[in-house]
Amino acid sequence: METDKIDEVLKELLTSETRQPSPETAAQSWLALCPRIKAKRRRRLGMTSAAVVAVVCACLFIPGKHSDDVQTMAQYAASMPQTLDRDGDIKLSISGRPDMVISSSDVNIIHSGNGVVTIDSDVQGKVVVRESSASEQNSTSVQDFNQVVVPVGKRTHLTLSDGTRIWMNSGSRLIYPESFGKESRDVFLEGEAYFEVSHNEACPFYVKTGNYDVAVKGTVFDVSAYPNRNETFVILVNGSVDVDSHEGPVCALKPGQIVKLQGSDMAEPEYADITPYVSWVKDYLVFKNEKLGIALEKIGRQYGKTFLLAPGTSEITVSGKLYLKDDLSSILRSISFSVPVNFEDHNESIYVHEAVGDF
Amino acid sequence: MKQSEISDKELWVQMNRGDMKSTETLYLSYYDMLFRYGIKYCGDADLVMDCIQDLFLKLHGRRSPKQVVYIKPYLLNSLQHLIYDRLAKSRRTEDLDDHMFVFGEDEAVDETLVRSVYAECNALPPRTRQALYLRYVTGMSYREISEAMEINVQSCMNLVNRAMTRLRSIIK
Repeated sequence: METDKIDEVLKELLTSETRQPSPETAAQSWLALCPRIKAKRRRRLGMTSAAVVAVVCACLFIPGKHSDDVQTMAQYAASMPQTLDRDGDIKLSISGRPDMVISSSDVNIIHSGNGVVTIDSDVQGKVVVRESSASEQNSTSVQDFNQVVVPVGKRTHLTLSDGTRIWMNSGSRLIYPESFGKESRDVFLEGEAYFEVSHNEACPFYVKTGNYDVAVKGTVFDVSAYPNRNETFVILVNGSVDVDSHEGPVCALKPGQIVKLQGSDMAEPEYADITPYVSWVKDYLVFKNEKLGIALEKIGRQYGKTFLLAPGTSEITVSGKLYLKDDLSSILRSISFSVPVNFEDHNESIYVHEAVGDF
Repeated sequence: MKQSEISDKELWVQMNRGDMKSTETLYLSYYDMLFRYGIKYCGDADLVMDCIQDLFLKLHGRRSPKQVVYIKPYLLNSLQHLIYDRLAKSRRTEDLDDHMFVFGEDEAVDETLVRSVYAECNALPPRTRQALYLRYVTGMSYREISEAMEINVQSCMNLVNRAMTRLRSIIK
């Protein structure tokens, strides 16, 4: 026989070599493996949450103050009317003073350490609202709260007495105590805000929202918790935060990670491009292949308008950068240059049509 | 992108990130090959099944994923190491070499030619049998075999060619 043929016979023989089947099929084996993989995931989360639980418990066992703060702040939040007007002005409520209305779109509110409150706005200029805290003696015994309400279409910058800087996005409100407790610094947020928390290891900073809490130790991050939207998120720029949804394990975020929540259901944290999420702090929005529907929702929130999209238009993707100081009509004009849509103004709402033919 | 168009490499990356669906797809497509290889290596079906599960348990959501160029040999090699470690724990590695990659032992083959070919195969050194097995039963390239056996490509070719020369002499 020729070598080639011999080889063929040999290969044939070797290939048809007996194949002992597994007693279990691949699918059966996979079903047995699944619970083991899930158990492994739980073990990992279990380990990280153990450390955090220790911290939280330590706070709770210090008599009184911390948990009292939380209680009263939640009550205070509930007692305040739903003042997130569509086109109102920014409202500042300081304890022991009548509510203040600030008719300006760009405001800087500064709480100095000694109780002095200054408001710096582009319309009224610098105004000292309170020379020094009259309630300074009382505030050690009675918790007084301040509230800032930012309606849709406005944004506000806030400096707290401990040096923490907060950028509040449109349609948000923040409740914070007149003076922070000694064991923790708690604030209550509805909507979206970007935090630069001043570092103080002995006194952790907590951002409470309706469905979850964020524990901070000197960090820059963004919390989005709009009550009327299903999905909320926390994104960490640097430092470290723990997100606690009160259900399931606490999630420790790493810089550059985002964790999304639906109600109290928390997804696994994932790495994301931070810029589009926090660019509003610097007065611009960035979109990278974003669906037009989502992009216009974000733009609408900044300008206090609602967009009504014709079928098919919301799936068109847009990319680009736009400045929030520009007026809405010029922004819409530049959008209609890059994607085939027309905008039509009807009072509060803006209709979005598909552009027909050449434009 | 359709499911079938996702390459094993992409699935591999997703598996390392902890994606359940990708792990499942890879598990189902490599299970049979791994079992056949493992059973040829040690002959203990329960042990092999355990080790395949352990292997994917390790790979799923791995914290520091390795850069893997060839998936198939990497899996085979890892499985072999896992089995060896388990056997070493219970001091059962002594007779591994004689048993390894023995051909045709599970089936009653009548044909004398086939029997003599298998007998000749089994007279080969264990590493040569392994190379022969990977080349013709598993159907891998020399490059892949070299990854699985952790030797260079030329050595793989030499092993397989030497085996084939001996086998040819029987058929003549």
